[in-house]
Amino acid sequence: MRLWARYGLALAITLALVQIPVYGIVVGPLIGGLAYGFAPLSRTERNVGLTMPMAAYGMILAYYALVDIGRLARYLSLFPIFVALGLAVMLVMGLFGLFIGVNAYRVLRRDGDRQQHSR
Amino acid sequence: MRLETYRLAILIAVTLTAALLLPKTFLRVADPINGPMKAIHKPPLPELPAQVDLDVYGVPHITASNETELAYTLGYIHAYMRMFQMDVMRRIAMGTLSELVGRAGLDSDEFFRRIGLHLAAEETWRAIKERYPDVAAYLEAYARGVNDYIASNPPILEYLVLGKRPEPWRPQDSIAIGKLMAWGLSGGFTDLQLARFLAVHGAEALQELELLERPLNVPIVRAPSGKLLAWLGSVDEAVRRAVGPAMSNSWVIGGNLTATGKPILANDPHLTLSAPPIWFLARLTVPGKLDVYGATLSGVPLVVIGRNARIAWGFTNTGIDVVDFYYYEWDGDRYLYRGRWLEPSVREETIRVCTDTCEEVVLEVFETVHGPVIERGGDRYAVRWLGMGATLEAVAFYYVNRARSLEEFVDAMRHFVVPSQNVVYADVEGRIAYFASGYFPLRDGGYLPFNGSAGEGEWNGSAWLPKATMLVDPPYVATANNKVADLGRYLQWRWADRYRYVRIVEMIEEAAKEGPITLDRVMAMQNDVVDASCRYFVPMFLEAYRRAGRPEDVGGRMDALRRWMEGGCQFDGDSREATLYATSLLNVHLSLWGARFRKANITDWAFLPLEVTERLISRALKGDQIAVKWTGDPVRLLVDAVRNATDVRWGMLNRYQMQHPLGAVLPQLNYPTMPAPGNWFTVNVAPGQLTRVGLYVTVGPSVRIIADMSDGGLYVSLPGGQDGDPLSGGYASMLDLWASGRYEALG
Repeated sequence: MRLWARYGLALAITLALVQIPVYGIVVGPLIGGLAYGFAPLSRTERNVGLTMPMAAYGMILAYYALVDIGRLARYLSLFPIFVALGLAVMLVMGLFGLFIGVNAYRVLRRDGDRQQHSR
Repeated sequence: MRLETYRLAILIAVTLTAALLLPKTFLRVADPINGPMKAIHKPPLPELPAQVDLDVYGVPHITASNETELAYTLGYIHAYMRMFQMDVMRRIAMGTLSELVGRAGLDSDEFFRRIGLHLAAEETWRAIKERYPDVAAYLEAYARGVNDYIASNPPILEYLVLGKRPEPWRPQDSIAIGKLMAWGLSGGFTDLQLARFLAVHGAEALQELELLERPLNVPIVRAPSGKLLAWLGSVDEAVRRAVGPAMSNSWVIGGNLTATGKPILANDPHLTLSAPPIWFLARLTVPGKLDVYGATLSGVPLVVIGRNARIAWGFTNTGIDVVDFYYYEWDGDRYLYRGRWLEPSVREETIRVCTDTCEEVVLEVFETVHGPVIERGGDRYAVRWLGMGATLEAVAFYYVNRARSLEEFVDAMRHFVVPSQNVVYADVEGRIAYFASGYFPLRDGGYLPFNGSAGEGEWNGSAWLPKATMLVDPPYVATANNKVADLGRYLQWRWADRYRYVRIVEMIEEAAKEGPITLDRVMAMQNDVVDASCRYFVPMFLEAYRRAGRPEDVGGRMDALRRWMEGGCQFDGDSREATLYATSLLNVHLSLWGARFRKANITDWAFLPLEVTERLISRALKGDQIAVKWTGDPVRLLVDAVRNATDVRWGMLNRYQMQHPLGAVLPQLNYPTMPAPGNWFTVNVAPGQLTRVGLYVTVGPSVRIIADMSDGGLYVSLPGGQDGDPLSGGYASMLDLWASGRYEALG
């Protein structure tokens, strides 16, 4: 949970800061997932990682609710499909990032182990 | 590298490639940070130079210390509430819509670039700058207000969906919107449609159907045409020659008939019903100088319909034909004109078509001595329109907003060229007036394309219509797009059917008989859903039923029609008899004209007015063989029409469809569909367009305005909301008010 809190926040911040036109929604969750997956994770922590993109989206919604809950409500009623798309893209890209991060960590750790052994 | 590393690299590459290959629109609308969701965070209106009080419906009451501040503030507020709408309007007019919406806008851009509205707007702006510096300064201040809003980088939903930003505003854009409205109200391609109709069905149709005469139509101004044409003196002279009550009807009711002793003026222009509405309500005040309120167009800082402290005015379209088409003998790219082969001048237009990237489409526009050349149905025509070049409608409205008397009002309207409007006027002194505004190009004919090669249809100057149509201080005047006057020359032939006009006059007469006319009574008149056409058609249906030997299968329906007519021909949403009548009428119309229109490649199913059908059937029932040639057996036509009609509730069939410019792809932005009481011929008009699933009402009272000259009151309702932002609570704020026939007091 300690890692979740740390990297979850990192992901949300990354996402909020990424101002890349159009591809922000791809790059943000990818980097967030990657960062989270790259850390040494237990199985539980990895499972928690699956919820992170949704948690990040929730944080964004919470921000808009704080700004103007009436306009947010109208947006949700008019464009639920955009919201669903956003969630889906973030989930998929977050999971890709997580998967890549976990594997990259493994590969690099094994390489490191081998180098230690060879010394 | 080992296998696992390769796998990892491939996975990263595949992920990124997949992401890059996703459609950008898909990613953009999904993005909660940079996408349309960003529009949730809309900053409130900042402090503006003028004081702004928004009422409960979002109508701004702007009080400024001078006109520059006033225009600036209105510009900012227009942009704040309607930026996307005004941008779309100016882009349509300027032929730059494709930059915003991609290929979907290309046909429109090509057309308007050919016609040259953008050139006319530029030319008009130059003329205003040279000759009317006050008006130019006013338009420039307005543009600054719009541009300061744009510069604040506002999150606007539609732009975030499209991935675009609004371009800076120029005074020419405001003028171009006026040009676009003018073009839309100038008659369009009727000449070409009529030519095709006559080509397919014989030139004699013109006489046989009495298209030019329109004998059933009722003119607004009824006087010997020679006398009217002789009215070429000053306005004052025209005022003295006011025509008496027998010759006038109106939306404006003189004080001698009203409860307050002061005039009441009512106006509801029938335009496209859109989300947001085409009009934007505002009150503009510079203490001691100006206090004008009513309906402005988004993108134009002037009150088009409304009132000030002294006078009120309203418009309906006359439809007077100010567009002509010319065909030529061509030899390659040369055309024959009066025996000489001429090279057309060539204008190059570059249209930028942008989705995620932009491409350029280059257009070569030929111009003959008559105007730009367009292609229609494989043929080339030059178009000549009175609104091409510099016309000063913006100047007219600038001075109308400031006028204090009929003389000043008419003087301001001298600048108004196109489109010709039925103008109704009232003032606090009790004076009321009517005239057809604008100019009329003098030429022989005009209802068919001219042979340009033979030198036909040359314009020999123009006539100022108010000189021939001015009525001052009749008891009342009504206009309903019906014939303006019989002036002894062709003005147009597609005058609106007389039914609305007949009903308005009838209501005013009835109300006057019952006692002084109140404001509430006038409001009820505007929302009236009686179809006067039933009085002419139902008796014909019943006559045909009798002649057909009273066939049993339609007996019940004929009885229902008779009872409904005796009950007043109401087109309420719940009425089944109304549907029976309307669909019977449609069956008659389509049986008579459907195949004929298709054969002539005419897509407008209402190309011929219903009066033509009424007259034709009436003649056929009397045995007129020429009419029978067109109708076939009129008895069978009428009985079959009723037999094949439907009788669901009218409100289920006839429904409002008010679309947002992006409504075809984002239907959530449209206003909700709802039953539309009324029909094509009721005062509260709801002209359904035939579709496979019913009648879609996309045109109707685009604003309802009533001015009570006794107390500074202006009562308004809008088919939608002031705020064009779909996320705003005010997006459809007045829709219920409008649909239920209620009003907001603006003054």
